[in-house]
Amino acid sequence: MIRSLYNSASGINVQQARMDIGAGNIAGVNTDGYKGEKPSFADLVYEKMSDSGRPVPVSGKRPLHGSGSRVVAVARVFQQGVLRETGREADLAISGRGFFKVSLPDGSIAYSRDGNFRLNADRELVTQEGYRLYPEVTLPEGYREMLVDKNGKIRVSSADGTVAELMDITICDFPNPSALRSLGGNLYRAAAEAGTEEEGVPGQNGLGEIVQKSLESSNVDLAVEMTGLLESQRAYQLNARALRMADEMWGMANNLRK
Amino acid sequence: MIRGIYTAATGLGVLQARMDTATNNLANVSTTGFKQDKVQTASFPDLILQEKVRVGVGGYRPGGWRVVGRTNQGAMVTGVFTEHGPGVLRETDRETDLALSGEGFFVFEAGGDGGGVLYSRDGELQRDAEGFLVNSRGHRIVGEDGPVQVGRDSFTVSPEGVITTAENSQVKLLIVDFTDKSRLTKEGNGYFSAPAGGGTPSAKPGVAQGFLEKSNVEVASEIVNIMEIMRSYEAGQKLMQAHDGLLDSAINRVGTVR
Repeated sequence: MIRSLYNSASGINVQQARMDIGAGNIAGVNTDGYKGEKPSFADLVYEKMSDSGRPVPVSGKRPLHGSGSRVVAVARVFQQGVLRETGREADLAISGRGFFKVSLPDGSIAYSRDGNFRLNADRELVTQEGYRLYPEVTLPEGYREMLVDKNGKIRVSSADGTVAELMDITICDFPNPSALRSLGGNLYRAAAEAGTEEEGVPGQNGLGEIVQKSLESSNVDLAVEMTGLLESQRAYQLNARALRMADEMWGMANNLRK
Repeated sequence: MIRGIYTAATGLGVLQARMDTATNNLANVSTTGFKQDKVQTASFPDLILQEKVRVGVGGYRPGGWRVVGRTNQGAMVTGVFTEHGPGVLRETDRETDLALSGEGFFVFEAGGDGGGVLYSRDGELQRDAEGFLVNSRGHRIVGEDGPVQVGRDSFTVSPEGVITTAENSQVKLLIVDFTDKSRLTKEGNGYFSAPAGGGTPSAKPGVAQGFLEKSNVEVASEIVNIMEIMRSYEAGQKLMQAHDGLLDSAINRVGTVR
């Protein structure tokens, strides 16, 4: 009976975790560059029924019973989000694989898919939080227009009509981006499990292209998430109900002697 | 009388075993590639009921026995049977999610350092740091030439399990089927183990890319199942209490004169 109670409790925990992740994804549905997470589940170990005192034959294949389920991994899904045109020239989106590199105030490097940049007082391209794009891009004084092509080449035309080429924007990629550590605020830190970073020119060697004046919307699909939440809620109820029934059975066992 | 109590107790034990298995099934209602278990039960071997035979008037012949019928010692769990029927395929649109719509199992390097393999229907994969395809437990999937390395580029999978990468290199996934699936043992974590040399390459694996196979637990029938278990348990309890009442009469009432 105790086994049944814990089986159902593990099922409830799994559905709770799924609900939490689904709620987090839905909260990020309007965040540009947001990447949703997905949980993976697995069954737990199997034990011999005879060990829990159930009547079984003494010879032959021993019957096993399971002991519930667990969340085995939560992976971030780096599927492409829909590109949305904004018309702002400092908005850059990556169409395909890759990350922008951003230098944090402590000097370390973080990775981001969120290309919602702006210019700071020194005319440097920075994120909304003020972190500089890496390698740094500084626009010349008195610039009028900035153009970024799909390969990350920046051309700046000045008020006097001259056109200057700046250093190109490079992006980088990992074999297993799902293993990157999330820092919050759409930023990720490198991790050993993600593999070695490969830096390159956008649009080459499998890296995505840069699209200017656009942003990448969240890749969370609301319909999928809502379906998941509904399913999760019902599965939660189901396990809670099985738990109550196991409890009632235990109550009956306790009342064997009136 | 005493034996009746023990017979009823074995019945309660069997019902507990069924409840354990049912709650495990329900806890794994969201586990990708999970296969539900069913408990097989049988009565204990029949015992022959005999009586001493009277011979002549006023005496018994020693050793003279006559069969008057058969009696039973209760019920036991003879085995747990895993239903290997297919689960519903759910579209996920992720290139690393694979499902088997036909017969067979994916093979994973999950046997530890000894190089052993385990089998699973859960094809929820991702890349690891070196570009190998791994499942959510981090175990590499095995192809016909060992672990499958796809790098970071996208790939396609044919229904036969042939992976074609962007560079047009091809590798075939090892998908193994077993004629006698009852010899597979559940190992937890979504894995099955098999005795050596039991498997043959699956003729029609029907690999579906961008899909996952859901758990094959039938929720409605499982709920009916646990309702039946609970009520049978209640009946067992009443039976036990009736036996107890009979014993009470036999001990405390027989022979009393009012």
